[in-house]
Amino acid sequence: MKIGLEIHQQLNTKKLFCDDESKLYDDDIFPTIVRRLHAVKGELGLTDEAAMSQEKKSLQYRYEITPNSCMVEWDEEPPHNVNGEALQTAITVARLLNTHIVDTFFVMRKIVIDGSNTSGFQRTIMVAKDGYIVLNGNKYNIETICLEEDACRKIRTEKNELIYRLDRLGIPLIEIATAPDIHTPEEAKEVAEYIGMVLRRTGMVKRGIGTIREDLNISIEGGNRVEIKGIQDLSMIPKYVNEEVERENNLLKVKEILHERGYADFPFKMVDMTDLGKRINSHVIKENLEEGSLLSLILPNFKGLMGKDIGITRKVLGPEFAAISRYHGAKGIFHSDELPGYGIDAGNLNDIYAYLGIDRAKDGFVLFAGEVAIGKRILKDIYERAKYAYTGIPKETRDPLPDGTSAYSRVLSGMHRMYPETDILPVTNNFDMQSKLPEMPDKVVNDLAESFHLNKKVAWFIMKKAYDDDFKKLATVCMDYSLILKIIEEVIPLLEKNGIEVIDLYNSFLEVVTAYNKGLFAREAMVDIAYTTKLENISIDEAMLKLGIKSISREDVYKIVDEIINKKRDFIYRTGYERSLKPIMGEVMKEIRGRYSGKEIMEIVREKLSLCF
Amino acid sequence: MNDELKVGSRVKIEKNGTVYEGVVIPSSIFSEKNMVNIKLDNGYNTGIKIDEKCNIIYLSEPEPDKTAERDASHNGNIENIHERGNDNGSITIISTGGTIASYVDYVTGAVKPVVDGSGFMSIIPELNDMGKISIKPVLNILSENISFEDWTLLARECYNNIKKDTGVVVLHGTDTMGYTTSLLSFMIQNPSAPLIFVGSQRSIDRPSSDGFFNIISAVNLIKAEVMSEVAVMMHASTSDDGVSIHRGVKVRKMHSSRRDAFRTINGMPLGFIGPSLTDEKFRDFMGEYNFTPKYGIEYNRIQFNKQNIWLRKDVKKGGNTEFFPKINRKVSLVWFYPDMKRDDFEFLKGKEGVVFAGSGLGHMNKDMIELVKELVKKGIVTAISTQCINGTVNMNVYETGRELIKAGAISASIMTPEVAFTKLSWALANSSAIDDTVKLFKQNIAGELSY
Repeated sequence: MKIGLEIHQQLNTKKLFCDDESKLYDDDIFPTIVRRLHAVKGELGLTDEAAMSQEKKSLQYRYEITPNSCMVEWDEEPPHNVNGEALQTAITVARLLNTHIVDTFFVMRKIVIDGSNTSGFQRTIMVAKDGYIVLNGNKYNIETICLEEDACRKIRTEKNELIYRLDRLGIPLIEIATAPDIHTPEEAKEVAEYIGMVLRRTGMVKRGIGTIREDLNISIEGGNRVEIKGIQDLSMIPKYVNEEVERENNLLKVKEILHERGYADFPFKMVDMTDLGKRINSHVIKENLEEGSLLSLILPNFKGLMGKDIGITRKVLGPEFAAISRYHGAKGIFHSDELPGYGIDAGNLNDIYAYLGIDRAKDGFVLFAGEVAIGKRILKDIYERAKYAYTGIPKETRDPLPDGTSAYSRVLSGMHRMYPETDILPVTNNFDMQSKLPEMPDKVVNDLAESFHLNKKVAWFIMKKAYDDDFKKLATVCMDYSLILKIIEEVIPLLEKNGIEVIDLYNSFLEVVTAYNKGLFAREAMVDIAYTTKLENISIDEAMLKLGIKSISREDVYKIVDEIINKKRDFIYRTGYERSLKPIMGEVMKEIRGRYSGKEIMEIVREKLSLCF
Repeated sequence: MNDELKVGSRVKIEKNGTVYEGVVIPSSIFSEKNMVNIKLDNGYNTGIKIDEKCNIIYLSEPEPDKTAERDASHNGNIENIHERGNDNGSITIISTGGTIASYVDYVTGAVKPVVDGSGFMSIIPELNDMGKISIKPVLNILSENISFEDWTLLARECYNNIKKDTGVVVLHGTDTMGYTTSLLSFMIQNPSAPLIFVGSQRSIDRPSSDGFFNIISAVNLIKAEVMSEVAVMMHASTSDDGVSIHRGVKVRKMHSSRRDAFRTINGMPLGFIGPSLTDEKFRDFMGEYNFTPKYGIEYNRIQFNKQNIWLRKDVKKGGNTEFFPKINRKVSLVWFYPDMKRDDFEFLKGKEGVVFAGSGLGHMNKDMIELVKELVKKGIVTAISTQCINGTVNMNVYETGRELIKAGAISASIMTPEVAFTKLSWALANSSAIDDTVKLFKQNIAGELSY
């Protein structure tokens, strides 16, 4: 198995080709503009395959105009000069990753006509090539480092229309592509995390969900290059790799079966069965037949191959066909391996086989209900995909799904998508290449471990979480480092489980730490209070009230300890000082927990207990 | 060292322990010395500074350029490919250069006009299904370079095709399109078929180019056979939702870069066209013209070939084409500014007409009034327009205006400075005495004096 990574990190500068702020806007009502895109010939006079297949969809794109989009984002004005701060940051990263930085930066246009860029292309600059990182004693090569503009955010899809928001368009992204030097799923995750840490060392990157995205390039033995594009959660990388390997193995099995059944090139045969469709009592079909037709594609020899009753671990071809249909903006397809079902009963199924005149013991079919023109495109693409099952695994780009699997997104782009941006002059590299570089993550981790007497593993954990600076800052306020660790190790995961992302650790928890220093609550209550204030966005006082934590006086503690000792006096005499200490302490803690320092309670219990003897 | 690196050849350059392998591309006129530009195999262009430590290995000679060949095989040749469809009418697309027919120039890195129209049909394959269309490259210039000679040549070509075609589309650079369309409106009067000028604000090599929609809309309008005027068709808004139809003598480029840069000035557009042009959209487009009193201008809604067309009821149709090919280039257009001095105008020597873009209602300072007196005395026809662009010239309101009239200046009324310029150059060439010229200038020839 060979895995290559492409890491895309947003920079915290203004936009790459204009002076708009790099920020995102929440859902709101925005004015919109509508555009269509047209496939064009590239520099070499050829039209890119990926670009063409997008155009076939004949969609229109609606763009929501946010306050941080000017005429550059609307594609109504030429781009301004490259943002110098962003380019300097890319150069710093390039130096940190031991790459060779080029002497002239050319802005290129990479054709993308899925509407995610108003211009129909993404602007990108190759900054450096051929570098490496060393991680856990292994060397991983870096092929290229590019600086590019982020695309629009896709908001939703409607019939024949995709809705995008312009806020993200133009935010600078550093793209780091590794060589396919990675061989295990875990390694892929570690390399991605490490490069993320290197990027953060510049102090110029954005933080939070969606600000770093990964593309995985995977090829397995007997397979082809498949790209899973836009993974936002790095911890999911191993899962995506494993799922992809399983999918490809299943596809190879399908291929094997097809060859066992004997290769036969079959023609594209689409049958209109609208009249039959009208007799089928399926809700989905009925709905789509009001203005459309019921079309069928015959797939000879495909019986069982779209489902999983052929000794594979998961359905593979069926979901691929469904994704093709979604790609064209349609739902309503069924394949023979999932029937009867969806309101199509056994009787209907018999009718369909009879109508198509195919052998139900070995042949399969796909049904589409809806507009004929769309159906034709979908069934033609499904036909091509089905035929490819004889060959193996198609080169393609896939979208990651939340469960770790992925879905077909489009064919893999070729190099013809690139041609020069004519509106911007090439930039000669006169940038600062000698200045002191930020320290690499390894060094920071060592220092952290040493200065705060932390276990290396813990220090790496802090680093991975990108809390290294915040940890140091909080440590100046709170000498009890283990308390800060408790926040990182216990509070943060709890909050993340509830969908709350903490980027600024210092400011998020400074108040809690200060309150603790003042003795407002005991060490034991820290986790609960810190968690509650953030989860419910309330003050420390409110959180303490809510949790029933009131700090109590030393006198109160004496009183409680006295009461418990009195109640347990028999037990204490029977078991003796040493052996009763723990149970009595337990009783006391049950009463006081969180309201007074456990350490001091222990002293009081010892003192009082010793008086009994 | 650079001289050895032939453009198009494949090379491998070793520098500081890394290798750049790819095809040599031309260096730009801004390139630094010793900078070699290469298109790498990953598609990126990059520049490498060559020094004595670099090791350059030639891998192969430049490959012969196959682009033209491929285009030809793809399209056949211009004469025979477009004879498809069984439409009765035929349409000629005349190309003159400009953004709409531009490609990337690898030398300057800028956009440059295409040399021939043959590749054009492959850029817009939709045209192949729209009947008999022939492409005729007439000029190959960026529109800022257009000259009186070019205008004469273009006008004749348009006239010849109007006589035989259902309509003519001219692909024109947007910068001076308004000059060309107004001049041609005076040169070709009462056309029997529409003469539609189309441009694009985003070059045609971009997937987002506005040119595609503009051209297809122009061809659709011609096929509808609903009007026959000289017009400009460009985006009505920043969206791809409708194309405006502007009368050639009323239109002006009002923005340096936007798709909807073209506006009808002192009047209402002839109409709008688009496949999804709803009543609401039509009202939106009309709302843009809040400077103009509507003067009871009414529109018809026409449906043709999945297009919604909104067209002025007073649009002209089916004329008997008259051609006035003569134009006089001895005209100047001068933009007045405060404290302008008559001494600055040596260059008006030998001119036969001058248009001033005055301030406000059509004013100039005292010194310039003196100049006007002199000019008129010398027999130079002097017209005053307004640099406000919107609104009419009225020299009766203020003293300055009255003095200008007294000095012999004539009013350009609601014509833009550019239209006053082209009209004067046409009127001068088509009259024998100054009085006739003035009469022609004041006559409403192609709707320039109507709203």
